[in-house]
Amino acid sequence: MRLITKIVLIFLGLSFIVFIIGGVVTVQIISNEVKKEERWFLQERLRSTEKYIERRQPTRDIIRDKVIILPQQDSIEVDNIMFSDTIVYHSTLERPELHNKLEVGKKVEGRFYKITLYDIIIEQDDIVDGVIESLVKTYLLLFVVVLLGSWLLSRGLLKPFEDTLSAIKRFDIKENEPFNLPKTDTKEFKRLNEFIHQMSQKVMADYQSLKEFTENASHEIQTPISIAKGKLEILQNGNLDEEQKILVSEASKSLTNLSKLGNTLTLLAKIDNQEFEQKESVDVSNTLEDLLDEYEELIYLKGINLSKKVSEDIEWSIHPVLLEILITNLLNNAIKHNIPEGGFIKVYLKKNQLIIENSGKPLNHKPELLFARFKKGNQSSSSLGLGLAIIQKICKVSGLKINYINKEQLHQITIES
Amino acid sequence: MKVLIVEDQVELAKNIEDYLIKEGFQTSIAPDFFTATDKLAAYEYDVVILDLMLPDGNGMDLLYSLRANRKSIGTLILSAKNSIDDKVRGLDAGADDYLGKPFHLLELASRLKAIYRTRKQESSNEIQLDKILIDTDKKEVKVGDELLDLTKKEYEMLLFFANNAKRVLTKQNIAEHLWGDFIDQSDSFDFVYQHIKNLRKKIQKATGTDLLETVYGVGYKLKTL
Repeated sequence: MRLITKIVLIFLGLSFIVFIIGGVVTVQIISNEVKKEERWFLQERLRSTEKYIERRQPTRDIIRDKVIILPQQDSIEVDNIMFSDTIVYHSTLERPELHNKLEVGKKVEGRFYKITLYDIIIEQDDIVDGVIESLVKTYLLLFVVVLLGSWLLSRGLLKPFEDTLSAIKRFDIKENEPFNLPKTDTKEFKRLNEFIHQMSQKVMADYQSLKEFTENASHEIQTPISIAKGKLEILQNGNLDEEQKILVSEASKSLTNLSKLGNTLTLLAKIDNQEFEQKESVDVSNTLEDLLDEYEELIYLKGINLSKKVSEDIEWSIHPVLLEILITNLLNNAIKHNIPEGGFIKVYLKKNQLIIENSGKPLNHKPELLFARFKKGNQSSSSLGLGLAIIQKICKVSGLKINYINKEQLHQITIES
Repeated sequence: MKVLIVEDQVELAKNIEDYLIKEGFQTSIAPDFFTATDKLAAYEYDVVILDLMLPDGNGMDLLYSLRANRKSIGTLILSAKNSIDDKVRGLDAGADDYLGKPFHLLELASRLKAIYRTRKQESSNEIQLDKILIDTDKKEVKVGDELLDLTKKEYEMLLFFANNAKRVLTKQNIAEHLWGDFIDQSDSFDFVYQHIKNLRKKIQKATGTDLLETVYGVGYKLKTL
């Protein structure tokens, strides 16, 4: 529910309660006012009644509509006007109604009279009806005005908020451009915009320093590794006995692994940072053929039989570097996990499908786990276990679909564009 | 061959220098952009080894100015930014070769020699190994007048041995030289043995002598004849 709708509903609910209480109060006030008027009116009538008694000096009881004059034998208390309510049958309305009553004792020309007057100007239920009607109409007016007003106001009043929202939506941390937030004179939105601005500045600064750190760390690690490797190499060419030479060669190999790990993690981070975002149309057939060329002798030397069926002039929309890394990793994978003798690798490239099939040991874990980082088929191997993680990441950022099937000794990876 | 090593890591520069001097190179070190510009203006060099990240500038700028003014100097970029697109950018900018850190010193030496040979085409683009003649221009190997039929990788391997005549090359060195990024470090490099065996056979058949020597547990070496 929109904020403005909520505010309107709450406002209308509250005003409903206020209107009910206000109605009761209004009825009360009007009733009091009417009663006061009626009393004045009855006192007015009392004077004309006195004049009537002076003229007629009645000795018998006079009981008429709204007037009762009772002559008294004994003396009574006089001029003690008492008002009260009484229910009397209303002649024109033909039903009992609440009337205002005035009772007083009077001494006129030496005689005592008890005078009772009662009347009604406006009935109670008329007042209630009137108040309800006027309040309901006012409430309806309020309802319409509030709805209309909120609809019109929300466009102007909440516009800065909407602008801020769309600015947040457009924000791209990689572009390194600060927020372009609209100016507003609403205090709350000003605070919101200020806060978002500060936060974005901080996020961008953090992101930048993290990125720089990753890059620098990779760079700074490679240099000492280079130095260590260089020293080992010089050592290797010196006067060492056989055993020492093997030790040096193994140390050197481990260093290479370490450096490769750094490079690979940097690559994954770069792909994550979408630094390879721009795509272009790349000739997959050419890239694949070139890479197969590089691998052909290696595959042959490993005793693996390579067969390929590559359609020509197939173009995919992908970053060329990513495509190369993707195919390299797929081929590496197919070679590495092949069986020692008599294995095969089959490569097919069709219009929107690249299929690489290879023989290999059956999987010893779930295929879904295959793409996890540092997951290796054989935990004791010195492989990094990052190859498939890279393949999957590249597919994800390039909008390619990847499918893996394992049937006993057959492993098949399909990449679909 | 005179080499200028532009590298801000003193240790690494010293490493390279030590190794190259043993290989018979003349070397000079420039630890920053300013010194490098200075030395390049004052002396003649055949090849410049260029680190891209320098404390007072970008190696790339040095490369651009070299390409614009001193076309005869060969350049090899040495950088930790070891990703393919950086490589492509470096080579596009006119560098002769690109080597990512960390690298093998013999790989570096081998590449420097290759750059030198291509640059000084008039003098020597042929290497003589006993009865074998390697023509790096045509990428051909001849024994006498007879062409030796080698695969692409076998040719590269032979050239690698020729460029590092005095050194022992490990299987890892050879694998990385031949396949570079394509090779997975976790591999046992047994297939290199296969390669060596084939190359040996072909040479022995053509010349009657075995050119390579196995250094047990470490790798292979060109025989001193």
